[in-house]
Amino acid sequence: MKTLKSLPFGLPAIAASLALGMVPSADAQEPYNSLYLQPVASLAQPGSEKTTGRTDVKRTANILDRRVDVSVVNSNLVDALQTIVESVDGKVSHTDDIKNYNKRVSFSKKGSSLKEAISTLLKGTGFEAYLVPPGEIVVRRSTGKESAQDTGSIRITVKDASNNKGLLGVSLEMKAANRALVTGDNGSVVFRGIPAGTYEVIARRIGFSTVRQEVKVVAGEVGSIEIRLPVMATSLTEVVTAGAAERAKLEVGTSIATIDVAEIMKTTPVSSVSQLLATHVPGITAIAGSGGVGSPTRIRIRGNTSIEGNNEPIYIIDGVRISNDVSTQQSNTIYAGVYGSSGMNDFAQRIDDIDPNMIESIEVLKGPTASTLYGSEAANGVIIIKTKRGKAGPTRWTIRADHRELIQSKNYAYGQRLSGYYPTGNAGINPTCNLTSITNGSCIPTGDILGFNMLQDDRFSPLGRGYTQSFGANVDGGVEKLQFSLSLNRTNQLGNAKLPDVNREYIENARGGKKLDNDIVRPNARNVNNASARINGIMTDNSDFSIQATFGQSYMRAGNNGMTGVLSEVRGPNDIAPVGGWTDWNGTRSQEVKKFTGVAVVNARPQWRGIALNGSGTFGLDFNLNDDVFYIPRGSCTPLCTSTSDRGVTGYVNAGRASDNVRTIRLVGGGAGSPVDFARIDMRFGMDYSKNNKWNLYGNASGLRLGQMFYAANTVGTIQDIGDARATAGWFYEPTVNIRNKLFLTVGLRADYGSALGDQVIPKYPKWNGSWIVSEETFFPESFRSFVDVFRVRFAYGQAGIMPTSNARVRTYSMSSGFVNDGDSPLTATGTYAQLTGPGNLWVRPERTKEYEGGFEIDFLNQKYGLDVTAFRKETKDAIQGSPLAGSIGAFVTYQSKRNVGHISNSGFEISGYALAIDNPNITYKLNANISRAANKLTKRDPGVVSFISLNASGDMYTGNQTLVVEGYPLFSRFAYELLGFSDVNGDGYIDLNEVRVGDSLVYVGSPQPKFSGGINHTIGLLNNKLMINANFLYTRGQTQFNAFNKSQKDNILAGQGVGSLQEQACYAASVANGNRRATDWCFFESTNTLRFEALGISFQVPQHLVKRMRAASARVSLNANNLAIWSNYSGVDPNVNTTQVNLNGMEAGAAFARPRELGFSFSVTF
Amino acid sequence: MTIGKNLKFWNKRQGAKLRGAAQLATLALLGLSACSLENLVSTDGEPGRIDPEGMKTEEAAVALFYGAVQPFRLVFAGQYTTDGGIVRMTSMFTDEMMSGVTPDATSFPNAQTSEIYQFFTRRIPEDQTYRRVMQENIFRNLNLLRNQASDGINALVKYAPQQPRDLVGHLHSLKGWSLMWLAEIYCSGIPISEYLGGGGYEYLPGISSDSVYKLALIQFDSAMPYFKDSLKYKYLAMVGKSRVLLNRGEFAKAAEAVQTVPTDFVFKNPYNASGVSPSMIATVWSSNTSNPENTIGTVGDRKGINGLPFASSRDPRIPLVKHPTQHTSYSTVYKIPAWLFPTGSPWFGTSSRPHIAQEFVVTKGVVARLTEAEASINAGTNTWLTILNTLRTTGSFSGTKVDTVVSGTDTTFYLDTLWNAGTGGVVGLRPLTDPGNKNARIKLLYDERAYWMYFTGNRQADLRRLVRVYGIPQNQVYPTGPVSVEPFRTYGDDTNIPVPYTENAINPSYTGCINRDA
Repeated sequence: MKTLKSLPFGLPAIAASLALGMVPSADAQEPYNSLYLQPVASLAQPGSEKTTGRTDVKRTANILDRRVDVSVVNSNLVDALQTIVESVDGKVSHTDDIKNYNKRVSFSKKGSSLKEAISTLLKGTGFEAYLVPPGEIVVRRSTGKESAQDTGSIRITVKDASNNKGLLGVSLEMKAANRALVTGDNGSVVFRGIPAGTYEVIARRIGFSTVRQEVKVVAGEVGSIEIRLPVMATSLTEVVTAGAAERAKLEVGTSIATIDVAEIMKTTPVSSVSQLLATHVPGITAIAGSGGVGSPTRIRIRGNTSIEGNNEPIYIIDGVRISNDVSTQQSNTIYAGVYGSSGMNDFAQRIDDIDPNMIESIEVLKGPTASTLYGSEAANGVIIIKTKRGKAGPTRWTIRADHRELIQSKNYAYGQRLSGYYPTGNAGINPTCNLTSITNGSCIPTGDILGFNMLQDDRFSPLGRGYTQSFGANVDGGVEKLQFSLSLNRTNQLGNAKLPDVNREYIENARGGKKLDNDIVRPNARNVNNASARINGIMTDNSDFSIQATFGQSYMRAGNNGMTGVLSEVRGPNDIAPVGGWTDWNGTRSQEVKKFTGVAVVNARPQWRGIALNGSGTFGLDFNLNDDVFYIPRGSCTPLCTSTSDRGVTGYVNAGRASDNVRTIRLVGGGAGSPVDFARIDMRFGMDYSKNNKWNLYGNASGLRLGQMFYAANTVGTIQDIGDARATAGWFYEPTVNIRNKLFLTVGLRADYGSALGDQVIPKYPKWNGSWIVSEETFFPESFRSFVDVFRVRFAYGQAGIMPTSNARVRTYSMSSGFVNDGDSPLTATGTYAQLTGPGNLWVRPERTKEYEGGFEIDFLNQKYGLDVTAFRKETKDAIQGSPLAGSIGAFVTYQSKRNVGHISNSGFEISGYALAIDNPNITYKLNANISRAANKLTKRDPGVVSFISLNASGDMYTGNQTLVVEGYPLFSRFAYELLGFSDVNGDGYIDLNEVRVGDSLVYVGSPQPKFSGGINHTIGLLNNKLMINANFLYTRGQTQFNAFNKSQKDNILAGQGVGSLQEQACYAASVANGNRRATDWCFFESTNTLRFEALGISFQVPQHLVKRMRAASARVSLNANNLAIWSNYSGVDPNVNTTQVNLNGMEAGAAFARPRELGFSFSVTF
Repeated sequence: MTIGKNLKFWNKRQGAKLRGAAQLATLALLGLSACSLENLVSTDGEPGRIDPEGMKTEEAAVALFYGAVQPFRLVFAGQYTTDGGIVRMTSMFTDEMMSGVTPDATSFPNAQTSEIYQFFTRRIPEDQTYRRVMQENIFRNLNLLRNQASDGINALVKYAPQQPRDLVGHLHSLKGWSLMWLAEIYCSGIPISEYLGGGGYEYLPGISSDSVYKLALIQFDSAMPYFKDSLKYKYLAMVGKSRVLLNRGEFAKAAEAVQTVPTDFVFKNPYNASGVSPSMIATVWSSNTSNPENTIGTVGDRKGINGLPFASSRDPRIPLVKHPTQHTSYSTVYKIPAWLFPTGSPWFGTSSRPHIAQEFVVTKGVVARLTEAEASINAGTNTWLTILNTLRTTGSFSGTKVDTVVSGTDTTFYLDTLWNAGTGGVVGLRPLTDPGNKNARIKLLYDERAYWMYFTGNRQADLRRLVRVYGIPQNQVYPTGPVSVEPFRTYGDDTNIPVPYTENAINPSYTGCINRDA
C-alpha cells in the first residue's frame, strides 16, 4: 500500500467512483487527469461496457467483482483496506489524512464483491475510493462535489419554429446521460452535471414534430443550444387545460372549444364574457334576462342536466374557482323589480363584470368527458378563463376607449281599446270595454278604437337613449425571468328606461319645481371598475411562479320597479294615458359588488432517475362583498300621494349585505417517461379543493326617519341572517399514453369528498378518451395526403356530478322564542322551542352525469379549411329535486326533502367549420360557422317519486300554465290547457268568456330552450389586413316563448287593425277563468326561429406614419355595432330574452325588454 | 420606460436564493394535502344552520321538549282556520257541529270549501286530487308531534339529566296521544314513518289501527316510571292509556288504568291571546269572538237523525251563545245557510271556549269515572248508574264558564243560571234511570260521554268505538240520511278519515287504507 504522494503523477488513469453518484472532486489536492475519469454510471451499470468497448474498463469491472474471502476485526482503516484489496490481488493507495482516522473497523461479509466490501468499509468514514486500472484502489477524503473538469452543463431552449416563441412543456430526453427534463415557461431548461461528451437530445411535444439533435457537453462549461420544433400541420396544436395538466389539444380526445379572446377583441365588438361565449362556441346557449343594462344572462352548455341544481358551468380564472353569482335574498328582491321576474334566482352573474380586454383566452370544457377531474360540481362543464400575462421585452402601454349608444326598438305593438258606453246610468265612454265587460253586459261597444303609441312620442315615451362606455389601459413588459402586467378598466352604462318627460314635469311642478334626482329620471344604470396586476417569474431553471390580484367593483341601479314599470306602461291598460304610477318611480334598487380575486401559482419541473417530473400548486381566493339596497325615502312621493300605507310617504328600506368567497387549492404532481421506444407515459395526480362560503344578513323596515335610511324603532320588519357553505375536495390521477405520437389514450379518475355528500358517499368519477391522428398512419391514402393536413378521430367518456345543496343530508332545526306553557310545565311560560325544519336525506346522492362523445376534425388545403364534428350523449342519473314529504314523517307541508328523482338525457351534435376562402395580400376572407343541436328530457322517473305533473312542492295540484318537469319531455317544458274551440253562440259578434272550450289537462306546448343554435362569422381583411370587417350572425330555432305582449293586447280585444278576429278574441277569452273553466295562455306561446345580426365591426389599423407622429407603436380605430337586426317568426320584439324566470333553470320567456341596438366606436393605441 | 431595466436584477440574483423553493413548497403542500379531505370539506357550524351537532346541550334538550309541546297544542285546537285541529275536524265529522257552509257552484272548486263539505257529510274519498288542508295538516301535525317527542326524549335523556324526569315521561305520553289520535281518526292502514337516529328518515307501510294502538300503549307504559312531581302529566298519560284500552275493548284494564285519576282532574292547553306566535292561538272556535266569519259551523242539534240535541236540550254541559241570523260581518262564503236555520232562527256558538286565547280542555277526570262506568256495564255490575248520577249532581265543570258577553249576541240564551246554581257541581240534571238492557245502557253512557266531553275531540272515538267494539251499524251511530234540507246530497257512510292522498303519492311504501270500516 502506498500514499498518493508516491503515485506516478501523469500516469494515465481512469478513475471510477465506487461511491454512488460521486465522482472525484475538483477540490482534491492531487490533480487527477480528468481525461481518464470514467463516468460513474459506466461502472455502475453492466451495459456500459458495450458503450465504451474499452478492455481496460472491462478488466476494472472484473476486479471490482471479485469475491472477497477475508474478515477484518477491530482494525484501523488503512490495514483493513489493505487486507481486503490485497486478498483479490489488488493494490491500495491513499492520501495521508486517512491515517488520522482513528476509529476501528470490522468487516466479515465473506463472499461479497470487492466493490461491496470497500463500500461497506468506507461507509460513514468520509472517505471514498477509486479504481486506477488495472487493479489499484485509490482512497481519499470525499468531497461530494462533481468535477467541473469532468462534467458540464447545457441549457436547451426550445422554440416554436413558426413564431420563434419559447415552448412550454417540451419533453427533452438525453438517453445516454439517463436524463430527462421538461421545459418551463420560457421554453428553457438546463441539464447539469452531464459528463462531457456528445449526446443526442430528443425533443417531443404534442402538436409538433419530434426533433433529434446532437449536443456537445464540454467539461466545466455551461453550453447553450436552441432547438426549433416545427408545428405539425394542424390547428390542433394549441395547449388546453383538459384535466390534470395542460396538454395539446391534439392529445385530448374531447371536444374543447377555445376562444382566442385577445385576437377577437381586435376586430369584433364584444362587450361581455357572455357574449363571447354565446357567439364563438357551438353548443352554448346564452339567454339574456332582458335588454336592460346589468341584466343577467344564463349560460347553458349542451342544455340543462339538472332539475334543481345549478345548471351553470363552473368558472375558473387562472386556475382558481370563482363565484359566478352573489345570490342573496336581496338580490332576488332587487332583480325581481328590475326585470319583471318572479324573483327567483334572477340575479346577476359576475363573469360579466370581467372586462374581456383582460382576457387572453377562454376554454370551454363542455361536459363530463372533459371536466371529470373537477369533480362533484362540474357536470355542466367548466369555463376556464386565462387572463393576459406580461411578455418579456420593452414595456408596452395600451390605452383604449369604447363608446356605444343603446337604442331601443320602438316597434312594440301598442295597445288599443274599444270604446263603449254603459248600458244604464253613467253616460259617456266606458274606457275599460273589453271582453269581460262585454260578457257581463257592463259595456256596450261602439266599435270605435282608441289607441296611442307613446313610444313614438319622445315626451311620453318611457324609453330613452342609453349608452355604454368603457376606458382601459394595459401595461406589460419585463425581462426574461420576470414579467409583469397591469390592467385597468372602467365601464359606464346607462339603460334605456326613462321617466317620461310629461311625468317628470308634472311631478316637479307638484314638488314646487324641485328637480328630480337623475337616478329617478334614469333608473337603470351600471358601472364597473376593474384593476388587475400580475407577475410571472422564473425562480430556478426548472421552476416558476405567477401571482395575480384582481380588484373589481360594480354598481347597478334599477329604480323602484323601473323596468317593469316601463313594461307595464308599454303594454298595459294605461297605454292610452301618460305613464301613471308615480310610485313606480320614487325609489331606487341598487346593488354594489366589491370583488377581489387573488391567485398564486408555483410550478416545478425537477427530474428524478431519468423521469421528468412536474409539480404545481395553485392557491386562490375569490371574495365578493355584495350590498343590496331597495330604498324609498320618506316623503319621496308627497305631495302626490298622501296615504300612510304608501311607502313613498313613510319610507321603506330593504337592505342586505352578503359575502361570498371561494377558496381554491389545487396541487398536481406527475412525471413522464418512455419505458419503451414507441410509447411515452405521462402520469399526473393531484388534489383539488374548493370551498364556497356565503353569508347574508338582511332586513327591512318601514316608517323611516325623514332624510335618513334608518328606521323608527317600532317599524322594524324582518331581520335575518343566513349562510351556506359548499366544499369539495378530491384526489385525482390521469395517466396518458402517447403511442408513436399518433394515438393518445388517457384515463382518469377523481374521488370526491363533498360537504353535502356525507362520510359514506365518496363518488368516483372515471373518464377515458382517445385521440387518433389517422392522417399520420401509413395506411392513410397517399391521394388524400396531398390536400388533407390532419385528420383526427376522437372518442371520450367521462363522468362528473352536481352536489346536493348543503342542507340536503342534514337534519336541521329552527329555534323560536314564544309562549311555551303547556298547562303544567315546571318550567317557564315563555322560552325557546326547537322544531325540526328539515329531515335531511341521508341517501341523497350527487347527480351523476356520464357522457359519451365522439367526433373528428379535419384540416385541409394547408389549413385553409377545417371541419369539426362532434356528437354527444349525456345521461344524468339521480337528478335531485326538492320533493314534498309524506305526512307520515311529520314535516310541515311546505318542507321538502332533496331526493334523487329520475334520469335525464341530453343528446345532440356540434358542427363547426372554417374556411379561409380568399387569401392574398390585398384581401382575405375567412368564414367561421357552427351549428349545434341539444335536446334533453326526463327519461325516467324513479319509483315512488311523485309525478311532477300532478303535484307541486306543496302537494297541491298544478293549475294554470306551468313550467314543469315531466317524464318524457324536456326539462322545464311549457304546459298549458288546450283551447279546444270557440263559437259565437249568442251571435253578438264577439267571443266572450262563455263561448270558449278549454281542456281539463295540461298539454305540452314546447321547450323553453332552442333546439338548434348556430352562428356565422365573416371576417374580411383588406389592405394587407389593415382594414378588417367582421360580421357575426346568430341563429336559434325551436325555442318556445310566451308572448306576454300579445296577451296584453288581446286584453283589449284588439289586434292592430280594428277589432281582432274571433280567433284572437277566443285566445284572450280563454286566458280568463270563468266559473269552473280554467284559464289558459294556450294561444300566446310561440315556437320561434330567429336569425340575429349580432355584431358588425369595422376596424382600421392607423397608418404607421401617423402612429409615429403620436410616438406610438400601433393604433387601431373601430366602428362597432351590435344587435343590428332580427329576422324571426316571433310576433313580439325579441324572442331571445327572458324576464319571467320561475326558477334558476326554467328559462321561460316573457314580457321581455328587448336587447337594445348598439352603435359606437372604439380606438386603441399601443406605445 | 425604465421598469424593464429595473427588473434586470432578477436575472442576476434570483437563482441562488430561490433555488429549490418551489420543490420544497410543493412537497410541503402535498404533505399538507395528505390530511383528511373529510375535514377540509366540513361545513359544520355554518351560520344560519342548526344541525344535530348543535342540539347536544341541555338548553337544546329543553327547547326540544317545548318543540313537542307546541305541536300537541297545535294539533289539538288548531293553528289557523284552515287547520282547525282535531277538535273541530272531528266535531264536523260527528254530530257535535253542523255545517254552516253553503256549497255552491262558485265556492265548490275551492279545496277548502269542498273539504269542509266532505267532512260535514261524511264523504271523504281516498283518491282526492286536491289536497285537503285540514285532513293533511292534522295528519302531519300528529306525526310531527310523534317525531318531535322522540327527538326530545333522546335529548333529555342524553344531554339534560338535571332536568325533571317528568319531562321525559310527558313526551312519551304525548307520543302516545299522537298515536292514539292517529288510530282514532284515520282509516286502518296508517304509516308510522320514522326519523332515523343517524339522520335521514324512513318511509314505512301502513299498519292496522290496532297495531297503532299497541304502539301507543308502549309509549304510555314507558312514560309511567318517569313521573314523580307532576301529577297532571301522570294523569294525562293514565287517561290516554285508558282511552286506548277502551278503544281496544279492554274495559276492565281501561278502568284500572284510571282508577287513581281524580274526578276534578283537568288537563288544559293554554293559549296566548297576544299572539306571541301564531301557533299559540287556537282558532278552533271563534264564533264568540270578533271573527265570526271564521265559524263554519254551529252547535249540532239532531244532526243527521242520530245526532244528539246538543243545542236544543239546554243541557248545562253545552253552554251556548245564540247569534242573530245574518250577522252583518259574515262573508259570502261563510254565511249562515238558510236551509240550516230558517230566516229568523238563531244559530249557536258554544261558550265552551269563549276566548280565543283561553285554555282549552284536553281531557278531564270525569272521563275516568265514565270509563269505570263503561267497565261496570260490560262486566254486568251495577255501579255504573251510581257513577253517572254522582257526576250529574256533584261533578266538576271546570273551565267553561262564560264571563264575556259578545257584542251582538242574545244574552238571554245563556244557561249559566243552571250551571252556577248550587255548590260543587252541576245542578238541574235529573238523575238517570236504568233503561234495562246492556245496549240501552251503553247508549245512555255514550250520550253522557257526549255531553260531558263535548268539544274535546272524544266524540269521533266514541262513535267509532260503538261501531267497532259494540258492533252497532254506522248508520245508527253517525249522522245519516239527508243533509238537513240541502236538496242534493245525503250523508255518506264514512266512519273514519282516509290517510291524505299525498301519502300515496309520496311514500313509496304506502299503498292506501287497509280497511275503511270502523
